[in-house]
Amino acid sequence: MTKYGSNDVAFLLAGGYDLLGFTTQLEDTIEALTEDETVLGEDWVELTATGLKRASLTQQGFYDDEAGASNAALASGTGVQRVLCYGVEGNTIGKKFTGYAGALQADYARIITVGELHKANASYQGSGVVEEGLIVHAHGAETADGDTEDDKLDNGASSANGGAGYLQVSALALDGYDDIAVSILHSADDSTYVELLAFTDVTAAPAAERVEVSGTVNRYIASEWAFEGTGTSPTATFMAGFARNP
Amino acid sequence: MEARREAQPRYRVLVPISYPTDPAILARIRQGERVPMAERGMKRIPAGRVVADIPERSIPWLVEQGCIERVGEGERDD
Repeated sequence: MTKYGSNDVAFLLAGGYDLLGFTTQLEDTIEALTEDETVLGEDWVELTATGLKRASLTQQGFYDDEAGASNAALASGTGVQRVLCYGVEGNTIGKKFTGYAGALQADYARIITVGELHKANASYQGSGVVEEGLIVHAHGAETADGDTEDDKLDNGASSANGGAGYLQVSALALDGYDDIAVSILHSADDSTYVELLAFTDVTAAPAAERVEVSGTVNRYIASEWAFEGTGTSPTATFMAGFARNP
Repeated sequence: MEARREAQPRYRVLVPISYPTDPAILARIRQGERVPMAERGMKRIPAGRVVADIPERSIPWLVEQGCIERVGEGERDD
């Protein structure tokens, strides 16, 4: 059992926007929808879970008008559904992250108070699955083609029911290259690696995508990326993760 | 020598794969040693190519999962 604090928060990425540096509080709530089955003659209320779940997330933080900062992200996000990922256990391969397949930003509040810095708060409603996965590529910059096979995830065994890969690209300077291609690999024996899924080639940031796969997901998982085309000194800042279906 | 090389089973790669080919590296991996990727000299094969040097122990699961398929003697490479 390990406890974590605010310094362990790895990232908050919505549609590729990097909101970690502006956020002071996150509240993620998963609610099981219930129906009241109480009938006449009973002493106590009886509830039954309908099987549906509802996810909601609120973020509070500072207003910042820089390009790609909190105001740009949240002002353009109201009513928009984005792939959202956050991690609270550290920005390290193998640590958990939470992925929203679709986080619909319901509101954006700018709060201006005498004697305080302006605040930028938003709330999201989950549309679709909210799942817990593992970081395959920690949120950080890469300047050349590479992979994480040296630091692969070892699930101990394969799983049979597919899963979903997440990609969040928060900054991209291609410097002549056409795009960056990111994929998730898997292996049954840590010897031969096979492409499990490929994300859409990314040509600009911010960008985010969730890709589902079905069937067997082998024991070992890694990520791989390549700058495609011809260029000079590219840089891509991104996070990739994978959530196995139970 | 040439005849022996032709007798090696060949497989068409259906999903991009990468693997080491150095027998010494493969032996170390088989023994459970954590061999850094930089030492492995991973060979990357795109989908569609026909190869005959996939590590033997990987072939069963790659075939089972539809990542490679056996190519017949008379079939030409793509």
